[in-house]
Amino acid sequence: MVAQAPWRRLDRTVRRFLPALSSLLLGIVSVLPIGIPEWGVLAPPLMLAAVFYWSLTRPDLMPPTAAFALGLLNDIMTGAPLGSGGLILVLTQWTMRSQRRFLVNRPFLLLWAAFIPVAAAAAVLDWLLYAALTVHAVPIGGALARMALGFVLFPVVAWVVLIPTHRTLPPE
Amino acid sequence: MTQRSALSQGSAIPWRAIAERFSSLLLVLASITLLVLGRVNAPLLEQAKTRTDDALAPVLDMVRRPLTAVRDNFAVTQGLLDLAAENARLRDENARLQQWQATALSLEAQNRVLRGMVDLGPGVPPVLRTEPIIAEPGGVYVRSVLVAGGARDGLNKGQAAMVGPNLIGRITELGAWSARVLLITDLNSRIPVILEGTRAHAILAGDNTAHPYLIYLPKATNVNVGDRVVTAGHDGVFPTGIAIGRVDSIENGEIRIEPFAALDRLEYVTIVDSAAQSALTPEAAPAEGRGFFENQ
Repeated sequence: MVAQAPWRRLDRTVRRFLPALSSLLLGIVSVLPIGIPEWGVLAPPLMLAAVFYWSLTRPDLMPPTAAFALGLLNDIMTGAPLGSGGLILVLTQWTMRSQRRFLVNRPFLLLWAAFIPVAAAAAVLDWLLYAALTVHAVPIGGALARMALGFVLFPVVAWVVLIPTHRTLPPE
Repeated sequence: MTQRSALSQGSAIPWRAIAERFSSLLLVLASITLLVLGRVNAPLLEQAKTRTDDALAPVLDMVRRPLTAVRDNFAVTQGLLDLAAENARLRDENARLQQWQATALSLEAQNRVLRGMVDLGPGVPPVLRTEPIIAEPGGVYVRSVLVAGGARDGLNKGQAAMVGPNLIGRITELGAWSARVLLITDLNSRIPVILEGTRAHAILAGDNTAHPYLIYLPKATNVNVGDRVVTAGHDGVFPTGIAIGRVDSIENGEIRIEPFAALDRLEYVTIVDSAAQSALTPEAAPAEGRGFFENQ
């Protein structure tokens, strides 16, 4: 019993990293060259979906620093301006943390619906940042299409990755 | 005792919330600082980026492999189904290509003599490496891909990236074993080009749409839809005469190019460098030569 304790502690520590790890994994999936035409441009923002979910359900395991680090890694993977992903994910984490009492322990449909304004705001912010940085107003349609795809795929991501991972986490 | 712990717990909660809010604010400021620094081109930032790309590259490559294997197996099965038709088509194409090869060889010989007369360097881009793509843009605003090859494989900044015989972009960021290729459609891409019919020089500029456009084209140039656009290669690194695309539309003096390469579905890229030794150009292959290098 005594000998098991350190292992159990290690196991708990590893599990506490699962929300961040699952978010990173989803970020990697969205940049994989899977051979679907236009996938590179329209790849859904899976990392945003993950950070959205974890900030609501387990904010203790998705602190602002984790959201920031994930955003930077995503920027580097995608080649986006460094800091744009960090900014969007930190703001997402911040907003969702403050909305917890309205959204936690509610039906999944409500959670899904709440992802609409978040994804839309992220698309607009992403567009604004890009326009400000390049002094060039590119069409926003692609960004909105990408977010719409993210919205449609949100239940899939939630049921395949996020909710099963959630079940294995140690209690808050 | 119990009262004290209850008290400290009670006061600990707002402190934590305040600390979290404060760190969120700090991180927002840090993001904005990074965005501004990235704008002024901080070399330290770029180094950190390429290092991280290097660290991520093996992971991305590992995740990509089973996916590619599944896709390739699917293609093999599909190929087995129409083997006879494919064979006939290939035999036909081979005959045609042999004709082209004979033409190309005689033209190359002639070209070498002519180039010697006008003191031009070798015009044909020698292949350096063919590398798999390990990360697609993953966003609407960036048209660049991450490639599983870097400085250790002999790659260098500014080198041209091709798919088959067609240009897709150039290397802009270089790590030890990863490199980022900026595609010709990216907002920041500027490639010196020649309009093949007229030999007029221009710059091919991307604007994040599928069709990059020509700037700095001399006003009197006579441009027609369908004219081929090839690289000009002024700087010595960039090879001359790689096919990029053809003129797709001319509207209000804006000339848009349709790239030959399918930029929305990239799997492998070939990196070329004009400083290396010459080989026969694949540019002369029929039907824009698409598929010529596909099995590399």
